[in-house]
Amino acid sequence: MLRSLITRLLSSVAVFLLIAVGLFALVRLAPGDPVEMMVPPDVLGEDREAYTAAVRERLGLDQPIAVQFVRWFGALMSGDLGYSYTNGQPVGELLADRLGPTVLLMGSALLIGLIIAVPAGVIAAVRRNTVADYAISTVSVIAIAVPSFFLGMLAIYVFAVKLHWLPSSGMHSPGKDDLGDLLLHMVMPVGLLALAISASFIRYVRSGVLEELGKDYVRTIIAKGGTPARALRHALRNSLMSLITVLAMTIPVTLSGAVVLEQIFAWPGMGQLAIYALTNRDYPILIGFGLYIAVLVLVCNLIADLSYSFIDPRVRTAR
Amino acid sequence: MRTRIAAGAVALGLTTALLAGCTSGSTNESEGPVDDPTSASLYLYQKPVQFNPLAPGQGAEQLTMSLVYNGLFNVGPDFEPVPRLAESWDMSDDAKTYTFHLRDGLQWSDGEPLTAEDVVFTYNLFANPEVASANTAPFRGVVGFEDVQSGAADTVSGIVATDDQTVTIELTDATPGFLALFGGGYGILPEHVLGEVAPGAIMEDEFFKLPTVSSGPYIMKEFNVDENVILEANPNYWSEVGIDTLYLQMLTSDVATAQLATGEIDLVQISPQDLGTVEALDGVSVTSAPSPGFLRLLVNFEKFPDERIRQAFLYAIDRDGIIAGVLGGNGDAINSTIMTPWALPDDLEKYEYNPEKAAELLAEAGFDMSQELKISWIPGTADRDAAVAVVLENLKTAGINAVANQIESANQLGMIENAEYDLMISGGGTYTPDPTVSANALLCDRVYPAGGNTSLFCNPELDALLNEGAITADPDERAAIYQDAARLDNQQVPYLWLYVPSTLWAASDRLQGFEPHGDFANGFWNAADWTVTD
Repeated sequence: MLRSLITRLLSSVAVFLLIAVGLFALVRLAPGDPVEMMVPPDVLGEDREAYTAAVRERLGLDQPIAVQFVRWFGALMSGDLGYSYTNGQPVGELLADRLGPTVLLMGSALLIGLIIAVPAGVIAAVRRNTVADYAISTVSVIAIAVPSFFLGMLAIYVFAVKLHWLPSSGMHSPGKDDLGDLLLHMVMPVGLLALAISASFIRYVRSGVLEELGKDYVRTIIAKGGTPARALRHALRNSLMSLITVLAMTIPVTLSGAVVLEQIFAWPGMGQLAIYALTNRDYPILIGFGLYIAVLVLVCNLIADLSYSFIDPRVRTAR
Repeated sequence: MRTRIAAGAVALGLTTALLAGCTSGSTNESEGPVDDPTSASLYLYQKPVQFNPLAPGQGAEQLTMSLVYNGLFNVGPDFEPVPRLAESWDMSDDAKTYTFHLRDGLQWSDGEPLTAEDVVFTYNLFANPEVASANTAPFRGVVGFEDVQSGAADTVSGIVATDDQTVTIELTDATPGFLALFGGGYGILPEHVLGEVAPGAIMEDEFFKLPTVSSGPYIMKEFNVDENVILEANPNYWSEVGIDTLYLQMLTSDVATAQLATGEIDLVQISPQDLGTVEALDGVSVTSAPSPGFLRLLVNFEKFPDERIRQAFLYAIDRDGIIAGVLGGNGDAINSTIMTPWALPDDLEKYEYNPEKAAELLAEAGFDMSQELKISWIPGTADRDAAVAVVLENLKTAGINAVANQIESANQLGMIENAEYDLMISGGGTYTPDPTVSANALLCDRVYPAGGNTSLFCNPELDALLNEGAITADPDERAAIYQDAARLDNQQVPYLWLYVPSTLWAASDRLQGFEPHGDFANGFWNAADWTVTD
């Protein structure tokens, strides 16, 4: 058990380093010059040249790419993600600043999504081909199919513009800093995200439970005189495996920020930062963001692998 | 099962509250001052990064900086200078010496006196090669600038504080258009805060991330990245500031329009496409002012040196149709790169839409109609995309084999430098204040990358007129010279002038005293005079 854990950890580190090097190459291959983009197009001539040359030197972008790589990689090894080209802030700090709002948004949405999805998926599976199943499945398919930016705009139009129930966007109203205000701002983005998350989870829970319900051991439980609830508890637990895999894949995606929803609701999270870094070719932020996602994916996969052996004894004994 | 659901719900509530508590910080700030403080929310269409007058600021940064930094003067909506820290100024008869008289009793927001020394300190930073500012334009003609650039001197000898309230600037040549070179920017910086910073390190100084010592009407209190900038009235400003707190909100234009409807925002710069929606809202009124620059098609002078071809292109484009169809009438056609009202004669050719004449001129010039004519543009801006579509149709109607060519902004300047374009959409500029600004887009020695002449245009006769106008001090003589230049420019067609857009501002009715400015980056120019009614 411990040995397999260590090998898993080591391979994760190797994958991380590969991703880091790949990211550096990929980001630098993208067209566009971060320094030129700092200067508006109508500033031309000597002023532009003097300014861009000074900035290039300050950022070390005047060095050969190999030198830049060695410097960057050296800094990375000591845990230094570098400084943003555009505003000079440490990238680690920038990412940490955005983590709070994103975790708040995504964490609540994920939680609410799961709380809706598991019972709904079970109901749809148990009452398969009934009105309840059709209703749940229809709603979830629609929620998957309609793009979130459309629902976002629609929600703003209905709840903010027309009904004046909720604030249209942002995390706080200007000048307000209290919890109630924050919760009001969270209703629309969290609600829409929770809807999207639960919609896809419902499908997985339904099919997972359905598959288990058809298995022999369920018939055995019923034949022994076990209640349907008891059978369901076993089936649900066995279907958790696939749900955890999906969850492990979903967490990195959600924690990297729902880019579209963050834009629409002006939510100051990771997704907005990534878009900003991308449009400004802010390489250090871009790489930092990429590495952050890489770490999330690796950690979540690791946790998922470990949790299999907790949930399913067969995985443990198979070793 | 039921208890578990209940437990889950409690856990969810707790987590949410906990997470919320982590991010919201202090929660109790409700006990305000005795007087209810007034506030207004303004829309920022971009995300500012820093607030440094020495750096090339994008529009949202300039807007924000106009609230915390005062220059000696600013530019009003009529593009004439309006007094700010300087109460008045004089130009010597030979237009070589400018004297600025500062107001009495000026103070920084922290109570320190603001004197002529601060002005000299600031202007020297702009001129210092170690600072490598992108905004040296006004100081290039100042006596002693070259010495500072070459390292022979530390300070510019032509910028002098003759006493605490007087600054004189001496120029090597007569420069009647000197003030126009400042644009609306060049805010004065506090020497008592930044005086000890080495010039080579000043661009990275923390001060510019949150400039808390202010010479403008507002003091920056908070800069919440991707969210807002919070400003409070500067009690030491030289005039009374009407609104206590300003929130500059970074939003997408769609959300900003929605917030106009909800009353969450008080001032938004809107696009012509949103005009209909916004005008239908209650409690919101729209005002407009003409922009100081224009949307144009660069026409590659190296490929089209014959002015008849350039004239033909202009005749072939239905510019009034574009203004009516794309801008809803919120724009004007112009017929010269010179835009300053006193420099424009009234006998300029109007190039009214005439495809037959265009075809005639092209035939005369021996233009090969089968040759592909590429119109390059960076897609993504609604009015430009629509304008390109109309231009394409128009040129085809005149028999020209025009095709659209999408480009990326990262490649634009390279294409210009290497003359790898036929026609290219380009916009902006602040030409109205003085013809010397237009000259930067016309002179042979300002051909890109040396300057802003992105059509790569060159005409020695026009050069002579523009250079003469730049140094003629007598206003009437100067106007006559520039009017001749405008006539020649009008005949030469160095750019295909499409339109001058009107800058549209939507303000809530509670915001009083707002006056629209055509330069959107200077839209908060009279913010100190604003008030709100609740």
